[in-house]
Amino acid sequence: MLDARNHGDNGACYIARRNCSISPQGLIGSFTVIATVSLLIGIGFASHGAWMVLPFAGIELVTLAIAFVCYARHAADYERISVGAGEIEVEVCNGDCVRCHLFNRAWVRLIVRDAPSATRLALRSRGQELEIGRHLDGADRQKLAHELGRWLRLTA
Amino acid sequence: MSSIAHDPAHGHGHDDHAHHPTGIMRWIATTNHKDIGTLYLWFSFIMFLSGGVMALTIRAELFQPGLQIVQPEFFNQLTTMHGLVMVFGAIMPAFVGFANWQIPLMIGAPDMAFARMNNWSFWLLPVAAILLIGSFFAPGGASAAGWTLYAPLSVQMGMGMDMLIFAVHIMGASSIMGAINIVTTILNMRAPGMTLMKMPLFCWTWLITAYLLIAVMPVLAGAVTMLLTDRHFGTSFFNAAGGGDPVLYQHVFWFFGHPEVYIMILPAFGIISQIIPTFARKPLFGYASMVYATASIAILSFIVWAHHMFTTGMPAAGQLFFMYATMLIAVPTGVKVFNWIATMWKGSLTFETPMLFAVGFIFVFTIGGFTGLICAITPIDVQIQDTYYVVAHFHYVLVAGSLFALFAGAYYWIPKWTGHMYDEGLGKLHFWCSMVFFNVTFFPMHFLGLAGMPRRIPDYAVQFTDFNAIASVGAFGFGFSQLIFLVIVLKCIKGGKKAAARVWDSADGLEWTVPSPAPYHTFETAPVVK
Repeated sequence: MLDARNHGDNGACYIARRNCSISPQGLIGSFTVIATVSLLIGIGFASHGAWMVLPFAGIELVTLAIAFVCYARHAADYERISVGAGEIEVEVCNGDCVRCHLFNRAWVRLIVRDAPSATRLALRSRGQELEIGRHLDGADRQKLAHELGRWLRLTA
Repeated sequence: MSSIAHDPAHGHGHDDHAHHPTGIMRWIATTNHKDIGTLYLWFSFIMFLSGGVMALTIRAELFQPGLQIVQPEFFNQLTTMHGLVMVFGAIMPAFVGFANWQIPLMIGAPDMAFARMNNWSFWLLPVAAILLIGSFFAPGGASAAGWTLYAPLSVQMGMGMDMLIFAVHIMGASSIMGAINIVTTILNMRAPGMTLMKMPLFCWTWLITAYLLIAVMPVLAGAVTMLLTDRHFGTSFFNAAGGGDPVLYQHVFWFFGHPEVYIMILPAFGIISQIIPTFARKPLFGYASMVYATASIAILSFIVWAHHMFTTGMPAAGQLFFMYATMLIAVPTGVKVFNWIATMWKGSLTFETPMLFAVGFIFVFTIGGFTGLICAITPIDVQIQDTYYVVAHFHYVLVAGSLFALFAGAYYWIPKWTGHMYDEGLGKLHFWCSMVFFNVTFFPMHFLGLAGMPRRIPDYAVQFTDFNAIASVGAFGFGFSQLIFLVIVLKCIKGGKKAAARVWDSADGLEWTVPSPAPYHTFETAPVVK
């Protein structure tokens, strides 16, 4: 999804976030339900002497928790594209890693690639190319292309 | 100098949807959900044929009284391995194959959440299958304790039992990884706008099934590990001589085993719920009630396990509780059957092969459901426990239920998978042969069970001969009918009439918005669901 914030004639900020169909609270709730059920079953059997169910339930819940955390790390991925007076700054968050890419607004080119599935966008300048809008659907990507194109034409 | 450049040529090269690796490494190293789905489906079909050969050997032996073909020890190995191969090797992996192919396509996701783990989940299965089938060649042969592996018999078996325990662990690990992948995918990767209550019912049933798997697989792992330690490490969980309790094994096993039945049938409900609206040309009647009924069945499955154990001796209060709890399951199951029929009511019905199998499913599965209700009644169950009546009941549920739904789903989606229409004439022949021979095989087993013929015996009293002969003829007919399915699938892969993107004119869902065959990569950009 795309959030757009306009800062008047000087620039704008666009934030593209990854699609994630469940909220962090929802994911925690889902995990809590399954963890409670599994642990109750394991403890129930342990109390009747069949204690070996419990360690397996524990191992499995740890695996499930790791899986949820691994996915959730990327659920908050985003790209922040800030159009300033003289430059375009792209902040890419991928898991724990946040990288900033600076482009001179006067020299940067917006590359629009027409692919069968959806349009792909990239910023190219002085041999450096960075794909943008990876988290957006087709309509939002076209909207972003239109907006960035407008800013670049203003510069030209 | 700043500008906008359009780069169509580069775009096509970079985003070529038909491009995929080739050769054997495509299949070994694949992380693509469609490839892995295909692997699961072929694996399960091979295991289905293997388990089928075992079944036919059993039926050949039972064609007439006396010992003709196999020794009793080997007969017991065959009944044990037939059950295990069909449950863990054929039915479960087939549904996971459907999940791999369809869930990302149905929710608009590019792939499963953990693609590498998905590859690993699959490739554990052939290893487990080799151990399972290879146990026939171990000293003492394969396990002959029945698929339930009851102690103390399973504590006394040979090395084949250890191979089986290891195989069960590996298959359990594969199932857990598959379930974690499915839960994470469905919860996190639905397309924008696809709320949970807009999700196709097949995804709902799989989400609930995955939760069931996560809840009960540690129970199975614990049960077989305790068997292993009783066998080799001096523990006495199930050994009465050491202070243990053999009945405890039955409680642990069936606490896993009964939800396992629903693990094998809930995704079947999902498939049927996709097919009937398409061929009735009406939306599914009572979508929300279907979701709640599925969840109810899953919850109830945890409190009915001891109906498998009425003859072990339990207090009357316990018998009453488990009897009534089991009968309660008929309510949500009835909701489902009524909703499917209500969907068909006054619909513009056509009966292509998927619909034939779906309607056939409702007919025969309902018979299986009713015989289940009969088995739930404690005084009756005490009479028919471990007889052929129970064999008839669970084959009506698992063959006519799960397997017919799998066939229905395969015919429904195979044009999307291969890009070609299947041979409708052969499909209908497959259905009618399967339907007729299935009933010829298993319906007489009700009479055999009511007359008192025990299950898991290679020889029987002469008064059971006629019905056994009929069942054996039916079994061979049913077995050979499945070769028609193999021919249809191979023909479909090789060629045939091109399938459109929306294969069935009133099919609804995201999977029908992509071309047929589905491109190697789909929904790299999420679609928006209105």
